[in-house]
Amino acid sequence: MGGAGIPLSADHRVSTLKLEAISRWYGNIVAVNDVSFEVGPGITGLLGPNGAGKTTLLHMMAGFLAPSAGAVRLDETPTWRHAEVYRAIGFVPEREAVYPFLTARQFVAASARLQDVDDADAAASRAIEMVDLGNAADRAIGGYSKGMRQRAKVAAALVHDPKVLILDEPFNGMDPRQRLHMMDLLRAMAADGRTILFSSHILEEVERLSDRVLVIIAGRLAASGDFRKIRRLMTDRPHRFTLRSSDDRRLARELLASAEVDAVELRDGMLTVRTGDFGALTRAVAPAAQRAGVSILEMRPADESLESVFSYLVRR
Amino acid sequence: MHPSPEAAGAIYDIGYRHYDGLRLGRRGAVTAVVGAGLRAIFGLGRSGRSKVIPWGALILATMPAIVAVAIRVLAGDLIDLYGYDSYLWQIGALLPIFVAAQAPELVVNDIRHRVLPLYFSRPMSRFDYVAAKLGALSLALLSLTLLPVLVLFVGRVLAAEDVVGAIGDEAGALPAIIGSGLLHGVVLAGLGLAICSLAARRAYAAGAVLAVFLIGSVVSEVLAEAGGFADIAPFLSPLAILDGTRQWLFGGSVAESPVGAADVPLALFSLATLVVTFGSWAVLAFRYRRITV
Amino acid sequence: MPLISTRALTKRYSGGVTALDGLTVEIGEGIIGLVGANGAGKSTLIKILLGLLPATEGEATVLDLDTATHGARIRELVGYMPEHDCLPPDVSATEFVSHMARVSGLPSGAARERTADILRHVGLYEERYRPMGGYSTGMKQRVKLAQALVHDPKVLLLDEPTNGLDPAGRDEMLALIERIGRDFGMTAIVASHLLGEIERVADWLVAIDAGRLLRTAPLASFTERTGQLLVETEEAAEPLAQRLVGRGMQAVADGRTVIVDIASAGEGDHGEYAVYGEYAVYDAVRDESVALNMALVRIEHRRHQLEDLFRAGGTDAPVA
Repeated sequence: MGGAGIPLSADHRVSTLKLEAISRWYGNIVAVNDVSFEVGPGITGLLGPNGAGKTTLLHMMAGFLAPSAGAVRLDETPTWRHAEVYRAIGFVPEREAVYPFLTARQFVAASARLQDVDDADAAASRAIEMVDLGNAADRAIGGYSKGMRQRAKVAAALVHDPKVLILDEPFNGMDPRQRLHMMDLLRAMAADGRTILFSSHILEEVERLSDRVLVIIAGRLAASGDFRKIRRLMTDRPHRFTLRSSDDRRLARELLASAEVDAVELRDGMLTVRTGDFGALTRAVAPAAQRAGVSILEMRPADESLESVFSYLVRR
Repeated sequence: MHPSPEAAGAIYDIGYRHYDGLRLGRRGAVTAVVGAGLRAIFGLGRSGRSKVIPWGALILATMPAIVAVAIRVLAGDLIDLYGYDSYLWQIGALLPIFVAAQAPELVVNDIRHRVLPLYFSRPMSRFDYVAAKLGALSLALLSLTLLPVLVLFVGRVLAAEDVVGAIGDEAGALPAIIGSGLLHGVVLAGLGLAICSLAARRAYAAGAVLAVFLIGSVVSEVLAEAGGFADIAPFLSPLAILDGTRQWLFGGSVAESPVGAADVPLALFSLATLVVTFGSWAVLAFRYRRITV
Repeated sequence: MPLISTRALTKRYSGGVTALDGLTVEIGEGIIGLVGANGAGKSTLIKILLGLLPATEGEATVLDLDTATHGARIRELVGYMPEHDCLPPDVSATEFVSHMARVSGLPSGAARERTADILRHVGLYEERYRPMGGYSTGMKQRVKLAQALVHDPKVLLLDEPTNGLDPAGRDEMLALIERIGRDFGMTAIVASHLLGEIERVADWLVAIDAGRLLRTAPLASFTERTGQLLVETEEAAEPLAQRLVGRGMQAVADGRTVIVDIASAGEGDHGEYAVYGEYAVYDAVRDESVALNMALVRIEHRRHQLEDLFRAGGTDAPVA
């Protein structure tokens, strides 16, 4: 799929958002605690339990909140109180941030004017088309469903063609079709070279959309990167695979002979294998099956899901 | 002794149980809401703090009757502290305080925290709900508008030397006592609940109730004294309107009430009461009609 | 006999919004996922089923009772868990749920006992005596579920039951819903916009789009096999694909995945063979992986996903 329809401006320098030892406290409450990372082009998902500090972190990244310690930079420029940074960042907050009596078109055009966009109305129309709000754009936002309000907010954040788009729980309240559309839109924008960061506490959304994830727990950065790679790094936790074969018991016997296998379990018509060495097992299964003369019909890493990674991290 | 069969070891089924018993429908729902309302009003099942105002008001409302009866017993017919007609006017200040303190509890939270869909998804219509709340508050108010006066009545009868004869003498006042008590209870409940249902928070509701009564009665007194407005004055105070209605229905004027100074047919007060009552109910109907599941 | 059925159910609001447009569907027992309906359609449908809103056209019955005439009776037998917050903060769970049980018509003794039992089933222990203002989102969702269950309804309407829950809480709520459907013997209609959840708990699916029925069928039929095998490896999969093609198979590599056509998938009912096609395909994958010393991560049938239903235009499959 091609770009999103609004290609990046001529200044094609890739944008990297850097966080350096960011902390934010409110009296005794430390919402964000010494967080450092970099976010580049592509889609990054920010994940964490409720109250983990995601919203605070995003507000600081977008330049709406000052860090109590550390700095947030967009390509070397701090985001706090620098107007040119605001122009490069689009932010979609979670809370309702729209005036219900405005129409979407008015709201988006106002946002464009605030950002000093040339020809605000044309930009507004383009942004509205991108989020597929065309036929409702001239109705008051007060009458919109939650999903439509979300789309209006996204349009307002896109209208000034930002290099970086930050979204706080963007899929809240959207029905499946709207969500798919929004995901496609974000993917297209990422393909254009933009940096996109979104937060969610719904793992399935993050898993589908992100290239990499950042996991925040109680204000600390617990993990970052491709969640599969993160899973491999969880070496103090054995991996589990489930297998279905033409002869589970025979395969089990053969696998147990391998050093990599810690345990096998035959239950519910399948074979579950536990190993401390993910990599070694992935190379051992096919040869074992071949030796035993057994056909492998199905093989799955049982807990290589973002959910399992997440529940492990929460308990550390 | 028989060996217990359980000695052999058993696991009992504590899984989900279905319910095939009685279902009371609308009646059960309304009873539950009225009962919960009364409990909330009188602070039953709650901290001691929430009992202070309702029970305090109840005691303060009844004290004069008890005192009057005691004096009657001691001093006989010589001193008559309170008459039936003037009793409600005398304790009048307690009524708005009671309503302001306890009525918000009944309606504001359910609206503010969006609990109503849980009610309306049960065999309880909007009408049932509002009627139940009105019923609870009215019943509670009767403890102030009816009970003390009945205490006075019973006390006077029992204190007389000739009890049976006294019953005959005093019984004539009974319809007025009961009628007046019911009138005050129902109308004030409607007005109080209507005001509270419009408020966003319990504190605002309480304030609004007090404002309506206080401002009403203060302005009413000022106008009565200022002269020339004595005819309008009582219509600004809910309690005065009720007093006028009581007078129209049962006779017996009260010296301190602005009704006396007004030179208008008493029937107007009854009309005003009808307006207030149906107006309150209309406000409630409007308020609750717009709420959906 | 369907538990819930609608016929050409239509609801138009003044202002031109059509929330439901000729919806005809029958819902039987089990756990049913209601998906796709946006806010207006979903809440309208729920209100009509509860007998709280009259339809503009068409009709609906719940448990064989007409929603237009027997609303109150329906509401005695149905439990509803709203999507939004609906709990007063200064009351305890025990007090609230048993009050709600009584409003549903249960006598006070039964209300108290069932409340105690239900709170245990949803996983609320000592917390139940504290005011609900201090509860976490997870606990509040449990109370909402409890008040929907306490009067032993025949049908449960759960509107976004995992709303606001973190992954662990979501897991527990879904497990609870599964338990309700299977062990408690209740029919539960779960309205959710999270397809993954629906795929996990529902037996049957009702998909609504723009007020009309998109599809209704057993969940399994939505997530059918596509007749392809998906093989995932730790390193580049191209060599594996090439060797499979060399064996005369259809195989396409994409990064670390290979999609292989299973020629004989779905050929009648011959037990294992019908499910897994001929073993040749699997053995080929196995043997070529060994030959290449390839690290295999995953071998599984590719399935349709629920979300394919909502891709632009929906499916062309006829409404079941």
